[in-house]
Amino acid sequence: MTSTKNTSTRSTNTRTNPRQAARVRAIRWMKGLLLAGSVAASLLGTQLLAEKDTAGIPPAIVRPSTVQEARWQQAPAGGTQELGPVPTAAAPLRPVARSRSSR
Amino acid sequence: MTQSDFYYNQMQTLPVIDEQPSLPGDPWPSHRFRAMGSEIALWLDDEEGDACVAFSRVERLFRRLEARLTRFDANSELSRLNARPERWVQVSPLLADVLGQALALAEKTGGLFDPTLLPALEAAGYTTSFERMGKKQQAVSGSPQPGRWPEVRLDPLRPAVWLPSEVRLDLGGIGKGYTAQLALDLLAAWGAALVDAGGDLVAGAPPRGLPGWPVAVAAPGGGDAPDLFHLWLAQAALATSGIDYRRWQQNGRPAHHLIDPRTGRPTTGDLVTATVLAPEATTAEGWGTASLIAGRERGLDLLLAREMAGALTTTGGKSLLTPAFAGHVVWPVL
Repeated sequence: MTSTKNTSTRSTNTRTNPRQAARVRAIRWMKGLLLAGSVAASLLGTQLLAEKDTAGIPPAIVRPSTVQEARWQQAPAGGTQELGPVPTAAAPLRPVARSRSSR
Repeated sequence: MTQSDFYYNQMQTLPVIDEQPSLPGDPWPSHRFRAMGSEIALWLDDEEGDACVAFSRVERLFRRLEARLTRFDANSELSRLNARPERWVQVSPLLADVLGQALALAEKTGGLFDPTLLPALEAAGYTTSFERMGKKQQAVSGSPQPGRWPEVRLDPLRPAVWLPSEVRLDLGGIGKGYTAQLALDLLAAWGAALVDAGGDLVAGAPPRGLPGWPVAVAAPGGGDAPDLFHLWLAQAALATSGIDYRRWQQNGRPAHHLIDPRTGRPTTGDLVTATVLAPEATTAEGWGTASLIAGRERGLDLLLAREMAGALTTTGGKSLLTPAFAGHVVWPVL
């Protein structure tokens, strides 16, 4: 009952006061613009972040099972690229310790 | 651009040491002993000739921390904490610090590293120290239980710990890394040092005349297989987690000590080992375990996204290196 009365009052007011009706329409437009703007900004921001994430992650280097295979790979985002033969050389240093799974 | 051109372009982006210093034998005093179920080795580039004193203190340090942190002794501080769930238990600053680091790593790795997996480890048959275990284990009571690290409460000021019902802690790997880091800090008072705690390496300043300590990443399985990589290690830690060792049969099925916190069972991923190079041993240890559990794709993504230095070896025998890790490898030339 109360809400019907209120609606009717507001409707009557805008009908009787053209200046106020124009103001209400302007506010509604601004609200709409703000909503549309924030949705667009949010979508654009998400896309930019996604692009930054992809661009920020460096590619991995893939070493095959044995050096004798002499085939090395570079794995950029979205694929793996096989590379040419690798020059092999004798190990230049003699390790004193080895990292390995817990012994 | 040919494939070779591409390869040589890649080479130019990676640091290459042109001349390797020659290394005569093993020129530094060293000391070996067993602790925490592992072979511990120490090296010291000692200027004063006091290496024996330093080694003796470090060995005592390992024994002291093992007595507190082992899960295989019912009287250790950790076992006494595990036996008192659902109440606040006062703990030593040492245990609080190790647990604090473990919980921080659990949070950073999204729970892939989890210190609450003791019930799952025991359900998998790892009930006694690996040295005493037979190759075949019988089924034990209890079912696989996923990790529950978010339910553990730590008050670092009292310090005190609250464990939920049926949650018990295993601080084996991280406890060893923590101790190795403390050992290195102790040795630093005498000179440049390197600590090998069962395959987890921690290095301080480089020895005189060299860019770092000459170390390697071993091929999975060990034996006579050639090393995967050689690198100079200084002011950093290198830890490898793997399912190529600490394996056994349980009820006719192969089992190992690396539990997937999501299932509470030994991980069945596509990686054999995961090696991580980090500023501290506990970080290297935690991320090594986490990336192995995560598997090839996600493990690599986790390391790359954080620009961490890591190398993963797949069940097919390939090694996947992050650029940060490749930058430290001196052999083979990448």
